[in-house]
Amino acid sequence: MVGFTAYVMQMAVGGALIALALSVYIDGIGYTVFHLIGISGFAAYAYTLLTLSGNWSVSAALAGGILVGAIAGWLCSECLRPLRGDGLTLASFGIGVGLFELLRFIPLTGGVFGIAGVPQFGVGEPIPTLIVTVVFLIVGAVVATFWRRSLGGAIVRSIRQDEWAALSIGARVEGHQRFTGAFAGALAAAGGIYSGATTGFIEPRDFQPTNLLIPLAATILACGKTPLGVLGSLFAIVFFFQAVRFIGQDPTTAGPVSEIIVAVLVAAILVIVRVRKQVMPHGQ
Amino acid sequence: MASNSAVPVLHAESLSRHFGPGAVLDRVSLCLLEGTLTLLTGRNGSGKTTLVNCLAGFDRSYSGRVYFGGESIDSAGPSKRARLGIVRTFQYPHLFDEFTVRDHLSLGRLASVPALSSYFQQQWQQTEIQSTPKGVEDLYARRGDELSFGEMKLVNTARAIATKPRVLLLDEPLASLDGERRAIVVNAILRIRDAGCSVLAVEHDLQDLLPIADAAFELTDGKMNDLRSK
Repeated sequence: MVGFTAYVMQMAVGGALIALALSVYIDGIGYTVFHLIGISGFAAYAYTLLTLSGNWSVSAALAGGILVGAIAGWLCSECLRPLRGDGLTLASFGIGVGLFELLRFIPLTGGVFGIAGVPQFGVGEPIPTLIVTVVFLIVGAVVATFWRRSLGGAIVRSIRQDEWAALSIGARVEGHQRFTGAFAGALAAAGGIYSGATTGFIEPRDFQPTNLLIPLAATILACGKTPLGVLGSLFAIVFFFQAVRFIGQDPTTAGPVSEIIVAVLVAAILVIVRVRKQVMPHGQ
Repeated sequence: MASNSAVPVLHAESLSRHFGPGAVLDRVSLCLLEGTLTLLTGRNGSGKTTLVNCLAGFDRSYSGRVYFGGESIDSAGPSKRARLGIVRTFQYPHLFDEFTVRDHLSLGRLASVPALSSYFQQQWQQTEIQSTPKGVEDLYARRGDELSFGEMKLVNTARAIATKPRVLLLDEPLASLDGERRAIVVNAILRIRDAGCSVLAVEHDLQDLLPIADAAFELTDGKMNDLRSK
């Protein structure tokens, strides 16, 4: 897997793993997920530093990076848990921006220039890279699907749907929310590490909140529900992006234009769906 | 009915709760005895639901003390209080859309036995729910989002009863119910009271519950008045 195909696959699979993390998080905690991309960046840097400076093997560093993502996800969900509505949105976005800025200014992470020479999965060998790509995608999809269909997933979704009802029957709401944060953090970490380890290069701007556009658009299009729907939406958007770039011939213009088209389409769909849905009063 | 030796289960001592300058609850004291039904009434906005919120731990911005079995539970949140056995319902029924009624009742029971693994082994769909009020069985297979408002209210109460609470706080359990369903809920309240549970029912319409209540109070201007002494 080389050249343009590899680039598109890496973009699609890295984004797919982040989108799965978003769908898990949205399912279990809420709609505000801007910090997850920062977590994926932290995990990618953890993987890189563990391999380059700590001389860890690729597989051990992968596990370490995912653990870092899970811990970061747990800590962020703990900070965000008491918040709701606008406060939650602002805090989630603030954490996302904060993590991005940290990556830019900490010398250990290479600053704004990032780190080159990230140990890659299956360097220069098409088949191992392809296998790694497929394995990441399948494992991510299977884990997210299993979680969605499990009793635990159903309980966590129900808690998000109606926290008061869950509290009233003694559900351990805080524990479920912490677990969901850690789980989504681990999935986002896998996405970040995959991107870094297949391109061989990471820089902070890869992990700024605006880069959530494609995963977030895919998650919204799939209504944040089935993992397969999320994956399908993401691959469709990536395909659309690349088609626009290909047809437009000038990638510098076509890239942003395609992003604007996707953003407008998703926003329009969201508004139409919201307007058409019946709004139920839900007061005390 | 309560015997003379009934044991205090939940005791609120001098509870006050302010919203702005006015006191919704003004040094209210209430003692709920084991195996009794206490009826609480009052005008809209008199603080009935606020009192339930304070007792169940949903509102902990009160002054005063709440004791359960003689121990202070002021620092315990709603989930912990529910696990202790203080379970409440809501005026507006809160159900989970994708769970069936049977699931709701199983979840209610699960809350008092926090063992998810054994829950898996029991195969929730086949679990018998002993404490379910008669009349709910025909709803078992329907999901939360398929129920009418009245059915949701019924299941809301049934789910709380399924947790086998020691104290059951019912917020307007009969409102919006037809005669048949009111009878189901009244019978369920009688059954759980006779099983030793202490029930506090907040209700506007006293017709069904006042004759069977062991104690009855009215909240007026933040104060608790004994209805029976009027």
